[in-house]
Amino acid sequence: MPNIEVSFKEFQKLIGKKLPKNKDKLWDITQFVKCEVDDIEGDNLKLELQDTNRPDLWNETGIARELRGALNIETGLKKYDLKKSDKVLVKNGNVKKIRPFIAAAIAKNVKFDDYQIKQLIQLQDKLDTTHGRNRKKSAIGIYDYDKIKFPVFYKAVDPKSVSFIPLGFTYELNLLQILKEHPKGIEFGDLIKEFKKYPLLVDSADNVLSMPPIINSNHLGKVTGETKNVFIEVTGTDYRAVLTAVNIVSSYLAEKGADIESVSIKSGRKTIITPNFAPTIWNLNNNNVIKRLGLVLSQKDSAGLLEKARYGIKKINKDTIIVEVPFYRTDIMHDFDLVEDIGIMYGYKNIESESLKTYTIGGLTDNTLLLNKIRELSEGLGYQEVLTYTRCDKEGLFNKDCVEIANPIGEVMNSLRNELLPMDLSFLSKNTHNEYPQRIFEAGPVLLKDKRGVIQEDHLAILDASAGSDFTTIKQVVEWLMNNLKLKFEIKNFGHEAFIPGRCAEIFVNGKAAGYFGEIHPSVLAKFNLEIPITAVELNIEKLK
Amino acid sequence: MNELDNIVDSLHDYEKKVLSSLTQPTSIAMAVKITGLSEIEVMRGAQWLSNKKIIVINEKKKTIASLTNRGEETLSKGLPEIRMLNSLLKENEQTFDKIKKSAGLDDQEFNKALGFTKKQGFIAIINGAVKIIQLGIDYLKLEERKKELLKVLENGGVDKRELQSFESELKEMEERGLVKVEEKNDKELITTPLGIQLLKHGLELDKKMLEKVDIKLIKGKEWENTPFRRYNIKDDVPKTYFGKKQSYNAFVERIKEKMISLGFREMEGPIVELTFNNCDALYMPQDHPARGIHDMFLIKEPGSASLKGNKFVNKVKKIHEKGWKIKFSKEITSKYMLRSQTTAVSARKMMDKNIEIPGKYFAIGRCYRPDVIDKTHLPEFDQLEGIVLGEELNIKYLFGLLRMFAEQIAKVKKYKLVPGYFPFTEPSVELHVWTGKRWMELGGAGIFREEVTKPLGINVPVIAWGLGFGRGFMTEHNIEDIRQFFSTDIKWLREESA
Repeated sequence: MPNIEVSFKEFQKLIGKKLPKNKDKLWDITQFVKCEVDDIEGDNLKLELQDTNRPDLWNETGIARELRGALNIETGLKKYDLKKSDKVLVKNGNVKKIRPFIAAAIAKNVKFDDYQIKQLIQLQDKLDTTHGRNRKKSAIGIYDYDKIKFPVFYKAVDPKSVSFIPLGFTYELNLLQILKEHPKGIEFGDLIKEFKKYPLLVDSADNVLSMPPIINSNHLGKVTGETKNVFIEVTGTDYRAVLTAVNIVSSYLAEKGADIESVSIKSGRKTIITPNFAPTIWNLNNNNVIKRLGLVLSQKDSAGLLEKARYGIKKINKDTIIVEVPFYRTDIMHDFDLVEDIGIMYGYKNIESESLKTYTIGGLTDNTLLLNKIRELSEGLGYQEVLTYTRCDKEGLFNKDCVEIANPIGEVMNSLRNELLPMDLSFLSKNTHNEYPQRIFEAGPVLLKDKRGVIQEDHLAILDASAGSDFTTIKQVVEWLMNNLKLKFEIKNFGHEAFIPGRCAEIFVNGKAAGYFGEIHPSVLAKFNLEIPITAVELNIEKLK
Repeated sequence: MNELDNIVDSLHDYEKKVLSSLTQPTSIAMAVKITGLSEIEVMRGAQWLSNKKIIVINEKKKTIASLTNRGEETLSKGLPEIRMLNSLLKENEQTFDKIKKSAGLDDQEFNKALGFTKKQGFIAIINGAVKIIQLGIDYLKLEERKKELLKVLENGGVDKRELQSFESELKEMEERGLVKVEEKNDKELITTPLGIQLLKHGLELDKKMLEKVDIKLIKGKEWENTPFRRYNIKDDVPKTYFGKKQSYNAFVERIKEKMISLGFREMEGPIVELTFNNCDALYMPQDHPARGIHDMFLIKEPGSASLKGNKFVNKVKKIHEKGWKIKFSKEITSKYMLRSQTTAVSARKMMDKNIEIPGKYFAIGRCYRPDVIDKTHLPEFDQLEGIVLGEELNIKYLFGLLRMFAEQIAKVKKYKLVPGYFPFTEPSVELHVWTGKRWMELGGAGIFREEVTKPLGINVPVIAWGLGFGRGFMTEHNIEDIRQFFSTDIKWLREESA
């Protein structure tokens, strides 16, 4: 979830209304855009945006635009002036397999100070990270427009053939060196490393703008308080993401008072013009509004609420509302996406709740019922239930054939348990300073592999750590459990690493192996730093059904 | 019966004997002597009396001098050199063998005595005969002091401070191993005013009282006429631990019971889940930021499972490609992962041909995310989630459901519903409850997008909901750290309510 920091005063100014400086009260307003107030500290306002599909909200002007609607200050479709410029960006066909898409815009008469530059960088960062999937789908570059000689060329070049001074550096590096030496090259190099040629933006004077999506040049790609006009470009692997990003950045600058001009992107004989502030048309069926919200809303009611949510209303037909969806709303995929906005603008606190009327019967699954029964029997034996993690260290398992985690955090907890016994012995080993006898049990899942894939079984382990514990003790436990579960069973000699040979039995229920019990071998006790006799049983509950 | 009678009737034989010996502050050793009980019996009696506030046990650190075994032997026989000198005083000039006999010394004692007296110049050896000289005679007089010291210690240890006049003798005897001097916790038994009252009242030492009820006693019918000794019911007993549920498991069980009482049926699903069920069936785009390797655990071997025969996969693929406009990878969808959200279980339920419509379902399931471990984050945690299916469902019922959770689960009247975001529901709403101090997010819910339900063959609105419940356990048990859910401290588990 994107978090942003803005100036409370600037935010208030953009909305055009005095805002409460109390967290909870401000949240009552920002909730209209699914925005939580994390903190207000002096003039610093920290906001958390819940919706990962609304990149238009990850900056103060986007939030303010929507809230002006919710607060009835300005409703309906927001229109931005867009002047057509004669500036051209030429895209070379050789970027197609590397980073095929590019869009651009020009913003003139921007007013930059420290705060405004910070806000722009914040927006750029949020868009690149979340919306652009760490610069893969889209990455933004911003340049000093007045230093660029148009047309600008987007092409793929041999990484050793071009050198420039990357942003923040004082000396030239070629593209290969940038990937190796520049912090951004190291961070994002994986996006282009595999290609023979790397993407590059140069102007007509052969000055490098940037090496997208890695780093701008220090010459053209530096924006300061002195910068009057900027050139914006977005490259990426997903055209929708690229266009959305350029639209959002340029409309952001428009909200901040800049004049936006378009750029012609020429690719062979094809030309497209970006940015594009035109709305898309959506036919909303008002019955879906009524159905989903359970509110009796006329076509007009719905249309009015949509305007508060900053949609445009083109026409109201008998069954449908023809809605103009703002260019920045790329999250609209279904009528219900509009319905939710209508509901939000109606106000969740104005919607009466209704109790569920259908009668349904509750109940636990058969697995839980059996597990509970076995747990109750174990409690009845006088044992203390314990709970251990399902993840474990492979090293600690007796049977090393286990399900392993491909990406564990660090070295430990790299597998899933395939028996409860080692987990519970480990539990006892952490309690050697506590009073004995220690009688414990655990019931829960273990994970195994077979040719079908990963298998999950519920197991029960019962361990008796006490001075007098012996084979008789644990056999009594097993017999008592089996008798109470009304199960007939046989036992056979068994070999298991944890137990003393000749004092370990395998349990068979209906001819199927269902577990084992016996006396833990002193060598195993020693491994767990235990100095008390332990007997144990592990049962596969699946085989007791 | 007055209070004192009651107390007397509650006294054990040991207690009565010890108390009766305490006409003045008395040491344990003295009490042993007076009562004829063993030291352990006196200690137990004294402890019980002290528990009843009849006496106080004054513990003092004391330096005690007492006889060693050799010291005791020496006391009965006399010191070897004294015996030798005394024998020579009676008959001077004796041969070695003769002295041994006359003084009753064995070889070892004789050698020691001879060595000592010779070195000190008490005797002379002339032509194989031993002769006492004046210095030895003087010494014999002096030695009365040592004998006296041994006599003083005869009846048990004595405080070193009381032996100041024997300072040099004590030192010598200690060096010779006849006396030991040790730091001891000396216990002095002193009656309290209540004890004095009881002594005055009389302890009825001869009164017969019945002790433990055993088979012999029951059969013997002695109880018809003889009273039982009254027990001090407030006495501490040794701690014992019996069987019970693990506290967190017990809490989970109670939540399940609550859900059942509200008409929800339990659903279940595996821990190692297919990405298809965990993400794709829920319309999470395959390049969703929360689907990276930093957000979910994958399995090394086998890394994936076959989805052959799963009739839902192609439908899900189609809807993804239409909505998200990215190519749907079957390789990704068939990958194994550790379930990262219980919503996977809801997805499975919707694919279950036995699903009931209308129906209400819930699941409490273990979920896994590669989180850094701290007080509030564990890579392994439980979620409570579920679905409600019904033709008539809309946002009003969704709100009604959340109101029910606020009132029944969180037990609060003050709650609020605010717009929320979940990738698989539209509309989405968050439930926040007022804790008395601040707002706390209790859960989230929404109506599943049709992009979720339609491909799974569900054609009615489905409310999906999830509730946080770990906080409730922490409040109930006054704990701050969620790692405590998996406590490895048996002491905590034993003492904490289940």
